[in-house]
Amino acid sequence: MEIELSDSLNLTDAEKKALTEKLASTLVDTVQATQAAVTNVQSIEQTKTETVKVQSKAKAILT
Amino acid sequence: MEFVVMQPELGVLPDVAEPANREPMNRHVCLITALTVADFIDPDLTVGALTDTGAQLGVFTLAAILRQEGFVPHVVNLDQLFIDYLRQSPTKSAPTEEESETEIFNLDGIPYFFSYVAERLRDLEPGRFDVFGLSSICSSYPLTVRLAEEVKRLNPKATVILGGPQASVVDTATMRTVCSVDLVVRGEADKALPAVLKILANGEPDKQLAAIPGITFRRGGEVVRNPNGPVIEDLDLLPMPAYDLDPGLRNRGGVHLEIGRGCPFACTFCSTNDFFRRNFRLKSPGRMIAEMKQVQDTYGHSYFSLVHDMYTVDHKRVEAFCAALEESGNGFTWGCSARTDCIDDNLIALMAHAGCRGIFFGIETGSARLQRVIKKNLDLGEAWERIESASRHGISTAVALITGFPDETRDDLRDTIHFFVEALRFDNAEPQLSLLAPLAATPIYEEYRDRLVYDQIFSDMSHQGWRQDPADIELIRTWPELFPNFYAVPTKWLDRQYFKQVRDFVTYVASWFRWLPVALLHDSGDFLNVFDRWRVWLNEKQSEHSAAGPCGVPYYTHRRFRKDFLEFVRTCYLADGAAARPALTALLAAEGPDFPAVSKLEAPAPGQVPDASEFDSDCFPYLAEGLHTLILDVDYKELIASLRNKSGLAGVPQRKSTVVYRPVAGKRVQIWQLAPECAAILRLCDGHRRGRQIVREFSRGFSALDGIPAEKVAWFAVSMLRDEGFLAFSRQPLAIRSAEPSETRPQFRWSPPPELSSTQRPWPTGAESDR
Repeated sequence: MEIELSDSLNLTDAEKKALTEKLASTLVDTVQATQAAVTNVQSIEQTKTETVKVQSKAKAILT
Repeated sequence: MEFVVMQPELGVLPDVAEPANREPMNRHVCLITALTVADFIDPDLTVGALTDTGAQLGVFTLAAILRQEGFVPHVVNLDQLFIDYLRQSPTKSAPTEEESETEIFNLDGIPYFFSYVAERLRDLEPGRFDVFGLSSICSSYPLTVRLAEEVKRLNPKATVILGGPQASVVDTATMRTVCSVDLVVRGEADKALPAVLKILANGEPDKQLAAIPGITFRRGGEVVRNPNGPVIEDLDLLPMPAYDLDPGLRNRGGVHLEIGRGCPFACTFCSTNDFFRRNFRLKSPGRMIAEMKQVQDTYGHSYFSLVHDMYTVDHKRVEAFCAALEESGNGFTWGCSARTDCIDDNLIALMAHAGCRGIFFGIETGSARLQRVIKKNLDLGEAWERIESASRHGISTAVALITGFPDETRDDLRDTIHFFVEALRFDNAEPQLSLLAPLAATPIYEEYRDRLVYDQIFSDMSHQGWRQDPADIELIRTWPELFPNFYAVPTKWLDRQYFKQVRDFVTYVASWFRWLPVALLHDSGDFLNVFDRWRVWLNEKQSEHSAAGPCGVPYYTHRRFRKDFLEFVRTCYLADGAAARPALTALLAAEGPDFPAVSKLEAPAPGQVPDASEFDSDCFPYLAEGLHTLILDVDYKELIASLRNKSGLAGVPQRKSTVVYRPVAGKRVQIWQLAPECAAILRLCDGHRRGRQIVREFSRGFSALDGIPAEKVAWFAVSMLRDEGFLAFSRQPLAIRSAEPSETRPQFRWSPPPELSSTQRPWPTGAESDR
């Protein structure tokens, strides 16, 4: 007899804990979209804005 | 023309904070800011800068002071005009992948910015202004000088005054060269400028100007340079900048606020310590909170770039400011500049808790020897501790480095490059590398002023984008004393072209990749050697393909560089015997692919997406839209951990791992590693199998886990992948998207990586600023 989705909910707390620890995904890294070669990120457009040079501190204070 | 220096016997200036209940002078003053944004090929690049332009604090503060004194100021914001100029300029369509960078960066036929500004100035009815005051910085000083001549031509009766960092240090050369400039206000102008304007308004300027400290002016045929003026000791006396004269402020990403002035240190390459007379001052916490509150109430901003060359000199005052921020309860976030030897872990923690989100660390060089030569004198071990601490506390750091010092050896350069690459190990650190520019009046400039060369290898500090107006170049070539930052200090041990190539290479390698350069450094032990091998490899490749085009920044920003570099690592570096071949091969796979822009599955039809509570065994799970998966031959998590910890690549376990790429807010991508069981489940979730079928197939290959039956494990994994956002569900099987030729190949989109160098952007971008 197949175990249905609903059956999987009938786990003890200890089993849930064990499975959660073993199956949880790990966030390894967060990188710039360009560094991950993901081309369909809508916000990649925003990456462009960073190309603009905000001038150095020598230039930032214009009294 | 004779040059005369006046003796320091000067009168007393009126206090700028004196109550302003005076007769209106009705003198109209046009203040023109310095251009701080750069000219990029793609108008979107610079238009985007509208949210993140340089500070124009001095001009807007002066405008507020002039108002107090009864003048009528008008501000021409060149950064804003530059945005407008780009918006109205003819634009090029997005380049194709096949288009060479030479074609992409061909801007023939697009008029230069100067003519646009001149037109706008004519629209302003320049005849109504009595005075034009132009601020200046080194990179746009040719434009400033030309605009000074233009406003004089438009209104010969008006007085033309220059100020700001560049004019302050090339004042006499400017006055002797540019006859349209009547006067230069040097250093802080908060007292001198209104005093000058009052004298001009009331007559007899020649006699009275001699009593104004901090100005350079003409008297007859002479250029007279008065001694330096006093600085404003109590910055709380300054009025709020006249932000109402900056109509674009509301649309920006944050606001620059001046928290103080004056760096007490004396680095040989830096010009700002002299500008503020090395006199360290801070506004009071109460004054700063009031400014921040007012800007928040008026313009809706709650992020502030707190401008000071070196904010954290006095820990107790930083602590007082943090306490005031906490007490205010306004939730302000902010960034600042600091030296790594003027901050510690406790202070960093306190600042982070009080809303600090970004710190600009000027490290300058990774060479301990050069640290002493340039009189920066940082302990580099301590610098790493501070960078690590800031990263741990969630503060983004700019790790700013300079190369091309006159005495810089190959060993020094290698140390700096290694510092740059190692900084990539920290999640919140952003390394930057600039080519040295001899800024006027700095110790380096004074030492080498007679030996400067014009080799057209411009520092990013000076080069105003992709092209320089030929009229600017003519000025630069003719008057080197005015524009020394466009010249170069000769280097003793390495060719300047080599410095430039290394700088461009490492800057853009770090823009396109994160861990691959770190791994190449750890594997080779010498990233400069990797660069040399790359250069030889590229030269051979380009000789084979004559149409390859030039190198330099245009090439490195092009995706072709990315492809070439991957090919170099694969066919040259790895082939020549890399020590950690499995790790590097895995990183080539992890950072190298061009994921397709469009999912191969059609989206579910409307009504076919079950709610979370309705999801059952008959649904069809599939990889959520926008995600990508990869299977690697090493444990990616362990690989990245070994790079972060510098624990060596040899011990990285060689076992299959599955990673998922998930785009998140702020132009970033998360990389998750799945547990093997979840990875197996996800591979089966193709949009064609029902949930129960997936569980059945999974159970054939897996035994129980900790005594829990495989079927239960499978369903638990499905639920977990759903909760983690990796799986979506449909009530119907998903159709395969029709395979048009244009959709089967990776969707190329020209998206140059960030130009990181030469920025002092203590404020974080994207998600970080929203925290």
